[in-house]
Amino acid sequence: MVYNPTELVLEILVRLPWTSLRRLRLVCRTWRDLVHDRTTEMKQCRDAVPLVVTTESVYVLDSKTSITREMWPGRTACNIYKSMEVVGACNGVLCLCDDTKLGGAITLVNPANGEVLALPPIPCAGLFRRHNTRRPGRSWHQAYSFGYHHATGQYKVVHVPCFFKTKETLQVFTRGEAAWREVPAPGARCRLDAELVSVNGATYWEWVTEGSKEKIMSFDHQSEQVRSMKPLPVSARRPICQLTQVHRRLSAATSDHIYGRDSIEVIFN
Amino acid sequence: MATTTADGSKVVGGGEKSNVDDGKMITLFSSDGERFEVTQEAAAMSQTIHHMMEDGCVDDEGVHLPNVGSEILAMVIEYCNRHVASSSSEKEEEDLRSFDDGFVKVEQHTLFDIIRAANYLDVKQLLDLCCQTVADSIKSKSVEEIRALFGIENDFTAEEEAEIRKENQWAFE
Repeated sequence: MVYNPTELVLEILVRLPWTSLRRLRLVCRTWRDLVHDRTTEMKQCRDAVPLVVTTESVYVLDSKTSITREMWPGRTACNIYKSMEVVGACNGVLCLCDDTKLGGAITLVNPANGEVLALPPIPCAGLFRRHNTRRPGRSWHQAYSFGYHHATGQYKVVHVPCFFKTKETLQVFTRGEAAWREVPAPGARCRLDAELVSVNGATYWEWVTEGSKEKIMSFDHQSEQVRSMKPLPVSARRPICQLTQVHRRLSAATSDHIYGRDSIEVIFN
Repeated sequence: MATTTADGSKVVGGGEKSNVDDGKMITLFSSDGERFEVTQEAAAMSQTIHHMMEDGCVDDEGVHLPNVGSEILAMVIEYCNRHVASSSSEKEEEDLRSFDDGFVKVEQHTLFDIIRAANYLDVKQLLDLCCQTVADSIKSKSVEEIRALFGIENDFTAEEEAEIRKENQWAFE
């Protein structure tokens, strides 16, 4: 008979990703209750509510009563958030980007409890190429991604190096810190139309080098290391159209122009 | 490693690191009465012992640890001796990583014993290392294997279990 006090079981559980915890709830009642009450992701997942986004406004749906509640009632508040794009969502926390502001202005929102955190603007001086700053209606949100790492419990907003940036750096904002930080990312520029994906505590993006070689870059939220994934496990004949996530695993959508076949392959377990 | 001195007590040294310039020693007693001589610096890696030393609760005899057996205490002391002198050279870090990798290659029940001891003695680094090792090993195990490993019985009713399975399905397991 092995005797393991609850606190020690918890020490082990908090070091596991959500995909494991969900499954480990099945071990026994004690473990189920620990996962539900004492781990961040499950707690927030269970509080999460369905969100309905329309062209007019954003509504929270109470799944028990089916009553919808407008997230930001009142004309002024509604207008502020109307022009925002959704960058991502983690554990019920939404990351929104206001494309009307230079560089894009990020706000984190938790619809379940109404918490709002407006991030300081990304330090734009010298960061963006001048001709890109002059164009109105810039899609700044495309270069942002929002992720959560189970081991650190931290939420991070990541801005990737891309064609409209002068520097090959990531700008990282960690919830709880006061300012954006720069992380060097040499040779790691992002192809924005292939989309950014944040999953399981890392942000991924795609880049095609001058020699037409596809690279998938990753930024780990815990170690803050930028790495290139090798080798690329998709067929060389089928270029990646878009990165996405399927069942919480990084996947690539590819398209075969010759045979007209589209497919999604899971890249990473 | 451990050597037995003339009076029968065990001295667990720090490998090639000499104790001479580390200063004072402290005696630790395991639950089964074995004596261990350790440098105060190494002993202080245990926050529990560190607080006892700070608060002047350690008498001439030493510290009695009724919750830790000799086999496990020896291992914890070995870990502390190895980690106490932290130099930040890459070689040293690599050596430490190798040591840690080898350290956790023990039977599961021994690992659990070390976790309990590290928790009681409040040696955070050791607790992190061992808990992460156990976490990594259970990632790939089935629910039945985990129950067997921890000696847990399935106390769910059929309905409770079905409800969780349904939730997992909905979340695209």
